Amino acid sequence: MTERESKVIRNFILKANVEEMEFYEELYDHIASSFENRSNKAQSIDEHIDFVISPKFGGIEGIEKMVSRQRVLKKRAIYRQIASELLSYLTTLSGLIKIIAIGLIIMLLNEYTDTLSTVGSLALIIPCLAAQLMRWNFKRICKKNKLPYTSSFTNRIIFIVSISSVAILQGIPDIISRITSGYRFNSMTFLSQFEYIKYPVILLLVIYALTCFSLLQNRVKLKTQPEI
Amino acid sequence: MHKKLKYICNMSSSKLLKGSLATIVLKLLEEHDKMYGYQITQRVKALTEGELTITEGALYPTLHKLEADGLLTTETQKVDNRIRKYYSLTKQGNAEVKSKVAELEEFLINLQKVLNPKLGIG
Repeated sequence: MTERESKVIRNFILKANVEEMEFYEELYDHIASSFENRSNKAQSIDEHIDFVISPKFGGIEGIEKMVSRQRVLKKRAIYRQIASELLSYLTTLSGLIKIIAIGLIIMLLNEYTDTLSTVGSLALIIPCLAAQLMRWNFKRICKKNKLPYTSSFTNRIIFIVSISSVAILQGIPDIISRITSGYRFNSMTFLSQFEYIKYPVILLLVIYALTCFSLLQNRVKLKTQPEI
Repeated sequence: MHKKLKYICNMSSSKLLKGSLATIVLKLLEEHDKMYGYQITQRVKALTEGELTITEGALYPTLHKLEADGLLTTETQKVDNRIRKYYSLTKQGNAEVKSKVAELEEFLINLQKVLNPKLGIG
């Protein structure tokens, strides 16, 4: 395929607001494969898109609708993965062993120094930072390789999941406290006052952090070297 | 299965086909190790001698749904300077194919009984 043909395909996909790596690449490969295998070799890429590709997808609107459905399905798949990951801590032997081990470590840490709030804060912040670094790195590689997209939908959802606990436990209560009383609010310091909920909350936060790391392992990575 | 596929295509209604698309995809992937979207459309076209064409607008959401349900897994390869996404069956998908195909075949037999009791199918 020539550079011009490649650009025409790119512009057609971008016209449908498909700017996430996984959907863009699949669509690009489909159109390019269809064009390369066209029966009428005299047909130009513009004609192929107008008379073959566009009707098959239902035009730009059809592509937008299709990709939006795919986004919902992708999101559902990630949420399902999170649920099964969390459930595995209670339903599998290895999960139970992990929970007990984490619980013991947390109790041991509290015996020597009052580090529980630090552990909780780290469990909140580290996944969030790791997810942000992953996004920056992805964007950097895209720009370096002059790719037409700079993000991945899967990675964005992983980032949202990783940052949501900081927003729910720290960000929102802090904003409310600043507005209503003018003071800063630290959820971890506040929770550490209550002995009976301190351990379960920290334990849950550590499990949450481990789940985020497991999601980060399944992030979308860019392949920049040819394999075939 | 291929005869059944032609039968569905003779009905030439995308609405009728829509409900069977997941089964068709699963069956094709059972026969091939891994396939990509365009390849699936072409395989269906070849098997039905061009009488049935899968609309891409329906195929990709079906593939993504099957992936979300854990029946398909994906891998990407760089081919001709572009990324190609291959779909293949998971263990769960492999186990599901037979029951899905049997379900569709039974449905077609029953449909045939209702529409034209004198004719057999297949």
